[in-house]
Amino acid sequence: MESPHVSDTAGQTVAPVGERTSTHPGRAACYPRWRRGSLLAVALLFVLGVIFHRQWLPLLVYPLLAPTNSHPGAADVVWIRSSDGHSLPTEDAISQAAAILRQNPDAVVIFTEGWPSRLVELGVLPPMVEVLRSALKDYGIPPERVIELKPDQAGLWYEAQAVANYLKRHPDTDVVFFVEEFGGRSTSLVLRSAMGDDVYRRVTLVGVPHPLFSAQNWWRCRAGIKGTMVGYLYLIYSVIEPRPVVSPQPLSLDDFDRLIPQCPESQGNSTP
Amino acid sequence: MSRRWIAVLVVLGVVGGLAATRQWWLPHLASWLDVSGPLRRADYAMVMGGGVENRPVLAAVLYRKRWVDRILISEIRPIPSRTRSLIPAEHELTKALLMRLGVPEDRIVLLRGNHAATFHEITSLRDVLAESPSVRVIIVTDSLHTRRTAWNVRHLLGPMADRVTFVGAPSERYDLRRWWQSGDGFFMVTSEYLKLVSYWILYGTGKWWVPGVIALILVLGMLRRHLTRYRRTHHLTQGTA
Repeated sequence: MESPHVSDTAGQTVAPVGERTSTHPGRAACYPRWRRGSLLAVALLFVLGVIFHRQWLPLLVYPLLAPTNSHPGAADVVWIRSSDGHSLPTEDAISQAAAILRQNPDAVVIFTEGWPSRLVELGVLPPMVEVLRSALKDYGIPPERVIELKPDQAGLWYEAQAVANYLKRHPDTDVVFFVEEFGGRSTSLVLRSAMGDDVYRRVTLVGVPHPLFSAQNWWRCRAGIKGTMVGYLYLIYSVIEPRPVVSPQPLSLDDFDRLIPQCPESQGNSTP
Repeated sequence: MSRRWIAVLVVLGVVGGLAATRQWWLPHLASWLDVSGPLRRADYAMVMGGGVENRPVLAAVLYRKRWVDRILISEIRPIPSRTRSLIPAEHELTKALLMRLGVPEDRIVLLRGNHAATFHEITSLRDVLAESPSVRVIIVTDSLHTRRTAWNVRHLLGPMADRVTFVGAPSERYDLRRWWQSGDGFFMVTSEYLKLVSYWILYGTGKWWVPGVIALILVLGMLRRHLTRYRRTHHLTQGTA
């Protein structure tokens, strides 16, 4: 119910308590003082936000970063993975891995592959474990220090299980895992789900920035904005469902072939 | 029952209904993104960047089954220091894969440029179509990517868009009927919707619509406030008179 409005003796309209708009006679339509103050505060905050954007924009991607994003100390095992089977982590990750391996002569690299690549199957590319061995060889690391682990199925969750099994067989080892900087948190959720808390405690996640952007400057390039979006989408999914629900169904070349019929317009013509 | 409680119950009912029927409507979100059309013979199949595992394979099938005479690929902007020279650039991998699948080298045409997005690739395609007025193209990309590509084609090519058709390549990382049950499916569908909105704002009429609608809401809010105040004042003046 609305509060009743009253008139004073001079015939001026007086708003109910709390709705009084102005103390000045004849200025009843003005914004109340508190509202003008809040508008000014919002405008001031906006201006300050623009001026000091370098200070607060990195905080927007903070939820994406790995929870233990510290510099790796002396580790026994370095875990490197190829998420798609035809690429490797950045040069930065490989040089950091090489530094750990040089520091600890007993340390090894375990390599896993998220998905088998058709490019490798058809011989367009060598297997990524060989590419990694060759990359580390340039840093003076012999190829036998790279061990490939084969997960039961494709995907990070199963790779993490394979690594957990390795760690259970080597109870005194600790692992450093190089992940994309903006995928740190979502990766940690998947690892915790796949490995269990006890094994997960032995894994140190190290976020490696993308060559084009990092948490300190992601808003400056298109790739950084896209990377932030990708990071948040994967984080949302990892929070909801860290464990895979359905198994991937590999497609053969014949599956692609069955999708496309012979072109009727070119029946009888020679091959183009 | 107060209005607030009714609103809460309505919201809960809608959310519950959506959750209960998700098996029915979630697949439609993915199928809406797929605008692959019926096949029509063309001069070129254009392989869009970003899907080197499946798109070139489908393009090679199109060539082998004589739907196209040549295959267009775009030079993709390289990411600096990506494991140095150990792994070739994406367009080189695409070319090598096409050749391995039986497409002769002289049938592969490279679109030179610094392509980093769908928008850039379609801009290069516009030049090809403008140079040869009778050329027709089949664009090969992931099924979920076809709507955004088609939007770019309509937006950038204008009347030339009639010479372009789309074929959606399947992906083994997700099933379109159950996309929300895998991380890659969830990412692909949600990111495509976000990208469609961002393309509409950056390259389409969205850059006028969004500020226009915000301005309209502000103006309507101010008008409503002034009207309420006027009515109240007017009503009280009449009452006191």
